[in-house]
Amino acid sequence: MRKSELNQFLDSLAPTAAQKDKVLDAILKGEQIMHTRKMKLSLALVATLVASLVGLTAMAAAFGWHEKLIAYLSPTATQMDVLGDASNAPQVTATDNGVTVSVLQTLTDQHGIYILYDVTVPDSVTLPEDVTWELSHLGMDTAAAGTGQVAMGSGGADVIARTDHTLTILQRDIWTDAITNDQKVSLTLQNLVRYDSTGDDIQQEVLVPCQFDLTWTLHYTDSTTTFDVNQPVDITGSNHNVLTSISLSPMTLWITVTGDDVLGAIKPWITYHNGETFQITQEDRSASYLFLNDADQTGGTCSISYAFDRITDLSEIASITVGNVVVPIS
Amino acid sequence: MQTSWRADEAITQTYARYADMVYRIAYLMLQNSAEAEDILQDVFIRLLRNPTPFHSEEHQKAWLITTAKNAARDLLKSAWRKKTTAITQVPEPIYPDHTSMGSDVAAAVFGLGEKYRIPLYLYYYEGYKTEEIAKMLQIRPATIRSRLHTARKKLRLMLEEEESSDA
Repeated sequence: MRKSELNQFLDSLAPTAAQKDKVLDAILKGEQIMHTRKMKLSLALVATLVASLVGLTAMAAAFGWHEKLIAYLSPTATQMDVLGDASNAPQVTATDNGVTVSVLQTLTDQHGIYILYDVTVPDSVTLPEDVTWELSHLGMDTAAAGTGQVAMGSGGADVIARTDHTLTILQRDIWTDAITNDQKVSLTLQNLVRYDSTGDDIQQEVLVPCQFDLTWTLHYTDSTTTFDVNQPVDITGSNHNVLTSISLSPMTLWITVTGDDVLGAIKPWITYHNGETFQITQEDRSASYLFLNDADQTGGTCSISYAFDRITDLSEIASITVGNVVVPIS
Repeated sequence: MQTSWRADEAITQTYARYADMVYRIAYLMLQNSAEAEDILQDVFIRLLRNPTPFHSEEHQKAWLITTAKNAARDLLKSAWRKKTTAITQVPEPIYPDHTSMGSDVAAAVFGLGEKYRIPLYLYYYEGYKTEEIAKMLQIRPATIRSRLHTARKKLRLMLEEEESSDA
């Protein structure tokens, strides 16, 4: 490798003009564009938790949602009703080396899954603020598995409540392949650790060695509404692609476009009735892209899936725009 | 409401000069453009709120480098940083990214450990001397020289005829 090649590559790592403008605008306006989810409990959330404890118990009983999930997501009664049959309470529990993990609840739709679970450690162990798993992996034996196609999951986890010896974690994942009813799910967790970077390198400290392979089966009624569009769409300057369908639920959005040349170029706009708009791009970590070949290998389908950062009323969404096609939603 | 110590105009000028550099440092450490954007915003918000006057342009640039590196490192070791996994086979994301512009070079650079990439960038791209890099990264100069040596070896860099003698 020559120095010029190295520097040419480093040159290419610069942000685009649009990225720079967006970030500068946010800096000057004091707004948050942060993609990275913060984990610390806010005072406002704590206050909400305390003030609404009685209400939470009643809502939990009425809709079958775990109180901690209600406290964190703050769904409306309507949203909980819509997602009522999307929730499961698998009550899967395992203990290893004094650490107990209990899966309390899941929320599921075609392409999204939320998993609420508790972690309890022995009294002799005090969990530091920056404790994490060395390995956390969610696996699903979806339709694409074993077919040679690629099914990808992406997501993250928030600590939504904690004490010195317990953590309550909400893990959220989206899947580019459809999650089916009676879907087998496996959650692998390994070793509670923390990382120290005070020296030259990041050092890992294992707090409690442990291993969990939790499996259960999802039973849910899908809350997704699918809009069959089937219209020619101009995404890359040509009109040879077809916007096939848009599937929307209170948790996720899923768009398919026929053609093999638009993956990554599908950047839909969501427009709300209150006038707010936002665009989903491949740089958003809540978005996943997938390309599937046709059986005869002559073409394919490009898809984008996206997980909303809150439970969304579909009645709030006025339209979704893909390329030059505007699809009215409500 | 945030406390602002520096005028918007000054921040805008500094941003125009150094946004690329801050983003590159973050991207080299995190390999994720969304997270690099986060660090870019975070660093300039810290600058906006930083009441300490800088002695010179170089002082300010060094502060930005150190702050970007520290912010990216904090995120890197963040407890619940998002993970992406494939369950069937290595995916072919296909979508364009920075790394598609020179996939061999990208693979080689990102194949280096995180601790090698920033010294490499500061030395070869920004033109800093090892002592200056050591000061910014709070690492001994000998360690920086050692990391540059290892990085060159791993990249099989044909730089010998071009580099200065201080490394």
